[in-house]
Amino acid sequence: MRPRWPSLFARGVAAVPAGEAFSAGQVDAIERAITHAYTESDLRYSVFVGAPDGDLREQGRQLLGALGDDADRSVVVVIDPAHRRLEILTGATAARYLDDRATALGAMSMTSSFAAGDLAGGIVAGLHTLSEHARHPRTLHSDLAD
Amino acid sequence: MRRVGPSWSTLLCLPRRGSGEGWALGGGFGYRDAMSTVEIVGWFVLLPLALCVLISLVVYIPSWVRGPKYRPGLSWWAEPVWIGGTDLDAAALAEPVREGGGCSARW
Repeated sequence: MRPRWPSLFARGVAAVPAGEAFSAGQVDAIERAITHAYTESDLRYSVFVGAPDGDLREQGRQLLGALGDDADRSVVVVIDPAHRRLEILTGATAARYLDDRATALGAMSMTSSFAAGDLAGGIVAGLHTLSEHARHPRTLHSDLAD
Repeated sequence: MRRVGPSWSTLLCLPRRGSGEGWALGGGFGYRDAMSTVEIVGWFVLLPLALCVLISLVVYIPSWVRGPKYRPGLSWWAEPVWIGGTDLDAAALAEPVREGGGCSARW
């Protein structure tokens, strides 16, 4: 009798365990990093991890659009672990504080950890790098009439 | 029936009861001491099994606690997650934003 499991691999079942992308502790660490980044730079950060079909940048733009009024001051990090791709997108206002060179530095700190298999650690390190570069003085009294 | 093998007291280097012999090698630690079935099973089956289980637990418990680990090169297995974002179903219908900047990277 032929063994059963080689046929499973023939159907394309991945030889990896099923489960959540991150443990509860890792999600906590990422959420803390997001909160810290917001406090430091006054920009809204979010991290998408999945394997979307098609153009990753287009997916990121759509995620940015889903943030509504916050999109201008938002930074969306889109990570596709299956294809080892990463996109960092900034809204119009966020791009003034976080230029493309700074996002590339954040991407570099993320991908170096991702290559070693540490997704959560890379995200936390990348958010830290991004928020450090996006730090700017708060605008005061902007609501006062001239 | 006399079985061949060390006794509990011999393996634990303890003096045997009633023999008056103890630690001195060549005195009381003969290798032909009788051993009961329970002792044989205990020493040669249960003890190695317990050691195997203990070593396996020491090796696997850290990874069980950490959860499944991402390994670059293998396919991704988890559901999409958007931390710090909004509803993913709503995002599918959202209009893409064209302004702004960003960068791409691979690893």
